[in-house]
Order: sequence, then structure tokens, then C-alpha cells
Amino acid sequence: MLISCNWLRRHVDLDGVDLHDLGQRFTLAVAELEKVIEVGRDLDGIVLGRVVEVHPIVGAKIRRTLVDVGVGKPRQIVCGAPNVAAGQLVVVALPGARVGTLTIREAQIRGVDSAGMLCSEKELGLSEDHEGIMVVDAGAVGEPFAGQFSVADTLYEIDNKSLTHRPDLWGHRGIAREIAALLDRPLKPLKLDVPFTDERPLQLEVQDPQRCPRYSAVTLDGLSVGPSPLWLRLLLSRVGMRPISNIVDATNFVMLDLGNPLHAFDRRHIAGGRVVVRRAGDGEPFRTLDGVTRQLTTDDLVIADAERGVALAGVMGGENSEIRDDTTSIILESAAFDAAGVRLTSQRLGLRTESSARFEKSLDPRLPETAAWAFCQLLMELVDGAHVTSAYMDVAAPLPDPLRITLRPRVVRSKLGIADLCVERIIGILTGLEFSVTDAGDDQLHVEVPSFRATKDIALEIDLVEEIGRVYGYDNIIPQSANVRIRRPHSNARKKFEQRVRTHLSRASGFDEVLTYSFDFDPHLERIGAAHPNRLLMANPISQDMRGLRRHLAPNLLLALQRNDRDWHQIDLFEVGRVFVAEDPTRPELPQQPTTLGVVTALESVDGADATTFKRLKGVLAGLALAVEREAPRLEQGGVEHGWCHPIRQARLWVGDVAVGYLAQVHPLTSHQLDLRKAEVALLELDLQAWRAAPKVEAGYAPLPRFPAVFRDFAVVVEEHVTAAAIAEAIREVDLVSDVEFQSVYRGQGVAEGKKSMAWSVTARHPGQTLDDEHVKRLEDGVWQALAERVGGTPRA
Amino acid sequence: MLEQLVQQLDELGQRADDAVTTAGDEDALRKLEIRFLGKKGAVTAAMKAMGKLAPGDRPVAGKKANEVRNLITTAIDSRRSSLEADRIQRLCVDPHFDATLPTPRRGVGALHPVTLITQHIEDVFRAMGFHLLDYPEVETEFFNFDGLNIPASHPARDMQDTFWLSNGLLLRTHTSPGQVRAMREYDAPFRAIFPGKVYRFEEVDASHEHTFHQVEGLMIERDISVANLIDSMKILLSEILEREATIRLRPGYFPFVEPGFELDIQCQVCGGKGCAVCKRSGWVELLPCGLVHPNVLRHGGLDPDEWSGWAFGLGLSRLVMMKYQIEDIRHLLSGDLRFISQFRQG
Repeated sequence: MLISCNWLRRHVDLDGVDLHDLGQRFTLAVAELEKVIEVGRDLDGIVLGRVVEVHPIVGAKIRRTLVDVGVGKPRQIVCGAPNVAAGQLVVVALPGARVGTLTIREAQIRGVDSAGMLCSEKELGLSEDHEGIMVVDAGAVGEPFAGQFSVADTLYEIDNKSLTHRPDLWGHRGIAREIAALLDRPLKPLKLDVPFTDERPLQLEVQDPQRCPRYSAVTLDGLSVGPSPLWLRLLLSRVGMRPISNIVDATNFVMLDLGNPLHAFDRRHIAGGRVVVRRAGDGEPFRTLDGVTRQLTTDDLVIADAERGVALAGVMGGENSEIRDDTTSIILESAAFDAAGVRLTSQRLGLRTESSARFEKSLDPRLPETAAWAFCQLLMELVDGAHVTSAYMDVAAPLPDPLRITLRPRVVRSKLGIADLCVERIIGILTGLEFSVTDAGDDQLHVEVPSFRATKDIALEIDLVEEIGRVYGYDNIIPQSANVRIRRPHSNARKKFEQRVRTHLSRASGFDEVLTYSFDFDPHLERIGAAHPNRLLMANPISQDMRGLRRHLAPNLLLALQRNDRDWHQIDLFEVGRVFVAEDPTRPELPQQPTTLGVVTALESVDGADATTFKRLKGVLAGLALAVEREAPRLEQGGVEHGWCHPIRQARLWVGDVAVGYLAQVHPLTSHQLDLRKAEVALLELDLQAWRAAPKVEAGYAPLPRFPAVFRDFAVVVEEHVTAAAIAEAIREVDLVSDVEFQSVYRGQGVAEGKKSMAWSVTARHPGQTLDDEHVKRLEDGVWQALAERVGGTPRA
Repeated sequence: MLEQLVQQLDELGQRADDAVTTAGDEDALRKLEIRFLGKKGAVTAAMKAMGKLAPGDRPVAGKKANEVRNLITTAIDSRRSSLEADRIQRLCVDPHFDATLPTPRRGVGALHPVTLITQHIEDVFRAMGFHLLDYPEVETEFFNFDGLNIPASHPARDMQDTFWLSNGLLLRTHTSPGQVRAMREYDAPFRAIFPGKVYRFEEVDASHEHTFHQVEGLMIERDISVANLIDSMKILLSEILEREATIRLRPGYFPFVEPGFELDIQCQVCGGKGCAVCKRSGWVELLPCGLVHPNVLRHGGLDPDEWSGWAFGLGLSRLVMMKYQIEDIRHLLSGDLRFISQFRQG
């Protein structure tokens, strides 16, 4: 929103005020000024002139004019504007003057000498109007243009979003009120004097008082439509409102001045002398004055006459009743509409207007009356012969009682942290903002909230504290250390656990951390063979391809892998993030949202027979277990059903009897579908919350063994299906065995088809003595016996 | 007999010496050691033959045998020393060595920049006695809106701004729902931060993302004032930014704080003089904050006449972009290693 300081001066005296400093204070006390813009400053050499003669130039559209600028003879100036005519008072840029970025010089145009330029409003920086030269209605020939009108202005640009809670700041008077309080100067009173009659020529009917708490109307006659005077056009243009005609400009001026949108109907087109505020019919077509026909619903509120809709309440007028060039008699509407209702309609229709933007903010229900008066007074000033032909006709729900709040100065001091803030200052600030305050004694002030603040942001004592704080100036408050109590700090174990996971995987294992969307990308799910039943779905997805919340990290990690596949020889990624698992996604109960670890590794070349990537991740997991002080999850081969997992090279992960995730190579078909260049990919997913819940395995000290160990290697031949875990377990239970370590596996010559030979290194130790030959013999016999009995193993020949 | 044996021993010594001197490595040397000096070795065999000598001849033969044994031992030791010296000498030579030859990086991957910032902030706040908490991303309308004093008619509740689930739940639009959750979970007074992922219904472009990260801070105490808030923010932001922070508060409207503020930090690029980064104002908008609204305290089960507090919400994604001067927010969740791999330090 643009605010003109010239306009503000109508409401508050700004003499002697540095407008840039004022802008700073406004930013700190009210709302952020995005920009302070200086306009109309550079107008040297631009004067008023009278067009004396206009002559055509043969073969050209441009014409040759003679213009009297008060000095010497009328000068010859070539002009291309279609509207130039003898007798006009126009704005002339003399040679040497700057117009925009152009410096005017004496020149020859089409062989005709030209000593200056006749300016359009756009060229003068007054408005966007470039259809013709600017024609001035009053002023003396030869006078500097800048001196004739308040052309120079300072504009404040305010972000509308910072004013959503302040309906009172949507007009210049509201802004001026704040500035008056900041400067401790009076706000000039509105002097409104309108000769209403006693006539009530219209029947007003409000069918939905909830959506329209107040509807008032006035009729005016004796009008003639024409352009507004320059001062009005200038003010409107400065704040970005295109001047149209006196009647329309007057409605806009009052809206931008006081904040209440108005609408003027051509009275000829309001049938039956009735104005009805009602809900639209379902599917009722309505053509708004932008020429678009819109389908309404019963959620929309319309203004209608005896026969048809004539305006979309609070949003836009109808084409059927708009002001035309021959309008002489109007009905002025000044109303209050329900904020939520206006927003609903404006949003559904995608039709945001200056009017809807204001009504959406919950305007002061007292404002329509003031605005109607101001409009009538202005229009009578603008149009000779204009007169009011009715009473102020008003259908209003009872206005709410004034809001009264008890304010305790003690609370003001303690909330703001200003110990020495005196009651007089508190009262002074509130009064400056038009709150009325009575000191009830006993540390109590009775504060009556003005109606323009009571609709939205002021309701409680603390809201008044803010008013005092911001006008006092937050930068005048001296920082003070909070008086906090020392409590036993929460252990924060969860965050620590997650930090360790991230730090270990990146810093020790060399994996790169990514963060991905919480949404699945459905075409990708198709490609990787993922089924996705029971997902939580969005009611308003950002796109149809991203409508479900992820139940797994794997799909988006594979997507990241695919994205990087061609750029990197080896890719190791991980993500720590929530997944979303609902038992019944249609019920409005919070789903499980476990923080989960996903890890993926992809190698360019591997020994295909070796399950290299699977083993790599298994090793990473074992290392991670040490870092987070937990038992590594147990692997149970098989049972992982995800479409992206290898049917054989996969295992479920268990912590105790809780399934916490899986570790698997990626299905070759998935790799194919994703067109991956990597030879082999493996990934794991692990529920970190469940893992963290497992008992902590901390480092602990045991005395060092006093007697030496004996090391023996065993090569055992077993059936293919026998697992390493089974063999290790069989050996580990043999007496004296303290450690079992896998060495290698061999298949081929010397080992029967369907069998494999596995080499193990066994450490044996006795706590109380050095092992002798007898012990070693017993150990070897024991191991072979256990292998034979438990896994059908035989010594390799 | 004796002469024969002595000659035999001499020859043995000579043979051994020849063999040892030409032994090429430690293995060969060890084999020779066994062959000549071992239990079943040649010298031992010769010694055994002494039994057949006349008793008077034995000391002479014995002396000779010891001489030969010593000779061989010395030869082996000397050869061993020389072989070891050669080996060490060889190890000290490398005509191919090039210290600048690139090698693969081992064992250090990147942490996501959002993680780097989050961990730093967690460290700062942990040191100041704050709880580090974590709350759900799929939230109820109550905790995301009503509990935070955001009325039903507030524009933020529209489909335009919020991701709604088909079952009536929503994706939290900010980390603030944690305020009421934390008040209900912990006894006052306490202080806590809760970082995490948040969601807004928004088209994605270089400066907008529908998914980003925030951290919420909350202090619940008796008699918290705006003066306390300013002081706390100044300390905490100086720690977070690792340099003295100059701040200012402007009024800002957020229904869950009153008074509510936008906190600006003096531009760190120009020091407040005005530059392109701060749009010539000298200040950069950093975070919203304020005193916790009485209605929010009530929803958290606290009596506003007894308890008070401050709260702030800091945009982590934005902070990351400011810190590393990242021009496009879409990089953050792209999973692109060309981006991520730039954060392996630390």
C-alpha cells in the first residue's frame, strides 16, 4: 500500500518533520515501511503555457503548435498528442528541463523547429496516463508547474501483509492517527457537514445481518460526470489508483482516506426503489464491472434491486448499474460486511479488489456513516449542482458496546520491563491513540477502546501493553537479564542419539547426508516397484504426483541416487527423517511418525558373486552400533517384501523381538527401471526410536587376561544353506573358546557341489592357566564335534 | 679317525660359510641354520660321531667342533645383519614416489548444511540449559492453530497456505505447535527449543519451498518482560552467529505472542551502513518473536497471572541460505551431491 505524505498532511501537521526519520519511527512502532519514495522533485524548467494555435504538418500525424509561456513571443513546439487544442492550459518542458531520463533540447522534428515539449501526466511522473498531454484547469501562464500544485510528494510503501491485523490502518487517516501519536501532535478533526433531507426514497432490506451487519445508503442528484480536479487526480495517482471520473474518484478517495470502501450505483438502473442484501442463488450468473460473468453460489452475498443482482457485496460492483458518462443521479452504498464472508467469495472467484482487501480485515462498524458523510461532502465540492436527496438511510444491527479493559500500570511495567514508566505517560500514549482512559486509582486504569481498534487486535490488557510499548519505543527499553531458575537439565537423549548417528555416518563412515521431501513421488514409486497402500493422503496435494506421505525413506533416497548416478563413481547417502505410518489413514488420529535412518550405497564395479554392497552396509551398521552404544540389530535373512529389495540378498533387522527395519540389496529390476549405471546398490532402513529404546551398551572395563591365548584355524565343509551365524554359534559354545572370527569362504575344486568350505579363526583361553597340549587337543575335538552335530560340518580334506 | 673328523669339520665349516655368504634372504638363511646347526643338523651329527673317538682325542675334536659351530653361527649372524641392512636400505629407495599423486578421500562425508546449523544451535542452547525437543510433523488443527490462539477465520488456515490431510489432520505450518505440547509435557519453569521440518502450501521457486526447516525457542518463567526478551535474543543470536549481534524489535503480528515482534539484526555485510543485502536499510529481518500470549499459556495448562514467557521462531533454511550465500532454496532438498558434497568440512 502506498501512503502519500501530502495526503497525510490533510489530517496531521507534518511541518518541520524529517519524513525519512518519521518513516524509521513508523517502522519501529507501527509497521515496516518497505520503501520511502520521493516523487515530483525534479521539475526545473517546467512551466504552465497556453496553446495559442495548432497547425497540421503535411504528411504527418504530429502537429505544430504555438504556445505562450509568458516570456517573449509564443514558441513553436511540435506535439504528437491527439488531444492538443488551442486555448488549453498545458504543461511545457522548456529546453534544458529534464523529463524522466530525457533532457529537452531545441530540435527539428520533421523539418519543423521545436523549442520544448508539451507533457503528458505520465511524462511528468504524475500518473500512468499517456493518452494525451496534460490539460490543467487553473493556473497562470509562465508559472513553474511545481509551484502550482503539490506535485512534490514523499510516498511510504507499506507491505499489506504487515497490516492484516490493523483494519484501522487501511486509509490515510488511520496512518495519520499513528503518526500524530508518535509526534505527539493533534489529529485534525474531520469537519463534516452534509445537508441530508428527511426523504427515504429507497427501501433497504438486509436478509443476512450476520454477513452484512450494516447497510446504509444515500441518494444524490444533479450530478454531471467529468474528470476530477488535478489535486484529486494527483493524490489518487500518487498512491496507485487510476483516476476515472469525479463520482468514482470520490468513492475511491474516501476509501483511501478513511478506509471504508464505498460503491456508487447509477440510480436509473436500480429497479423498484429497493436495495436487498441477500445470498446469491446457486449458479446465479453475475457480470461484474470488469466484464467477466461469474457463477455465484449460495455462499456469496449480493446486493440486488427489485429484480436482479447489482453488486457482489464487498468485492465488486455489477456492470448493469455502474456509473456511465451520462449518470446524473446515484445511490451511494456505505456498508459493513462480514470479513470471512468477503474473503470466501473473493478467494473462490479469484477476485481480489481494494474493497475486498479492506472488508477482509474486519472494519469498524461505525465507519460506514462517517464515510458516507465524507463522500457526500466531497462530491458536492467536486460537482456544481450536486445535492443530497435523501436522509442517511441505515439498516444496522445494534452496534457493539464499547470495549472496556482494566489496565494495571504495574502489569505494563513488568511486561515491558520498564520500571519507571509513570501513569501519566501511559495515559498520554493511550489518549494519543484515541483510547479514552479514566484513572480509577488503586493501580487501575479503565480504558475504553475506540471502535476502530476493537474489531480485531485489541481485546485484552496485554494488547494495551503492546500499544504503550510500541509508542514508548522498543529501542528505548534497556535489556535485562531474565531471572531464571536453575533446574536439572532434561537429558535430551533423543537429539544426542540422532546427532551421533549423523556424525558417525558422515565423519567416520564417509556417507553424505541428504534431506528429501516427506512426500512420495508416485511415478517414481511405480518405477521402483513400490506398492503404497495405506498411505496418508493430502486433501490439497501440491501436485497429483506428490499426494501421499512417505512410509519409507528408501524411495526418495533411490530418487536422489538416480539423480547423482552419472556424476559420481561411488555414491553413499543417508537421511534421518520421519516417516508416516497410520493404521487407518482415514481416521483423524495422529499417525506413528518414527524418526528413521535410511542409508544407501552404490558401487560402480563389484564381484557380483560376493554381495559386496550388502556386506558394506552391514559393516557400517556394526560400526554405527558402537557409536550409539547399542547392540547392532540382528539380521534375519528373508521376509522383506518391498518391491525395490533383492529377493534373496536381504534381511530383516531385529532389536530384541522388535522388528526395526531391513537391510537389502536393491532389486536388479529396480536398478534397470531407474537406468542406474552402478553395478550394485544396497540400502537399509532403521527405526531410530525403536533402536534407541534398546538397552544401552556402554564401554566397560574387564581385567586383562593373565594367561596367553591359543589360536587355531578350522576349515569346515558344510551344506550351502548353513549360515555363518549357525557355525559361529556352534563353535562359540565349545569349552575354552573365547572368540570366533570368520576368515573366508571357498567353493570349487575339492569341495563338493552344493557345499562350501568356510575358514574360521578360533581363540581359546583359560582364565586360570596356560593351555597345554591336552587342552588344545580337547579344544580341537570339541570344535569338530560341535560342527558335526550342530551344522553337519566336516573337516576340509 | 681324529684327523678325519677334524678335516670333516673344517670342510663342513667351509661349506657352511660359502652357503651362508650366498644366502639371498632370511628364509634361506633360516634353512641353512637348521641344516648346519639344528638338532638334526650337520654339526650335531659330527658331534655325535665323536662318541666313536678314543677318549683322549675327544677334547681336541670337541674343541674343533665348537670352533666350527661358532664360525658358522658368526657367519650366519653376520650374513643376517647384512641382509637386514640391505633390506632397510632397499626400503629407503623409491624412484617412483610422488607425494602429490591424488588419493581417494577416506571416511568423511558431508552433513547437510541444515544439520550443521541445527547442531550448532542445539549446542548453544543445550549449554544454556534448554531442553532439546522434537514434535510431530503431522499435527492436529488444535495444536497448529487453535492452541496458538489462531482464530478459525485466520487466513493461514486456508487451503492456500496449509497442507491438509484427507483425514482432517495437517502438516504443521510452523514449529510453534511444540509450544503448547512442551508446556503440557514439562513442569514450569523450563526452557526449550524444538527444531524440525515444516510445510506450507506454496509453489516452489528459487526463493520458495513448500518444505523447509525452523527452530522454535520457548522460555517459561515468572515475570518475563520485553526487556528480558531483548536481552535473551541478543545473547542467543550472538552465540548462533558467532559475533556480536545488534538487534532491534519492530511490531509484528502473530496471534500466539503479545506483544509480537519482528526481530531485525543489523546487517552483517555492511555493518548497518546500508548495502544491497539489507536493501539499503542497514537491517535484515531475522525472526518473529514475542511474549507468549495468555491464551496460549492457558492452552498449555499454565495460569497467565502466574507464568509468562517468550518465544521465537527462527527459519533454519533461510539462515543456511544467508550463512552460505545459497541463491536457490531448491538446492536444499534436491539430494544433489554436487551441492551436498560442499559441506564435508567440520
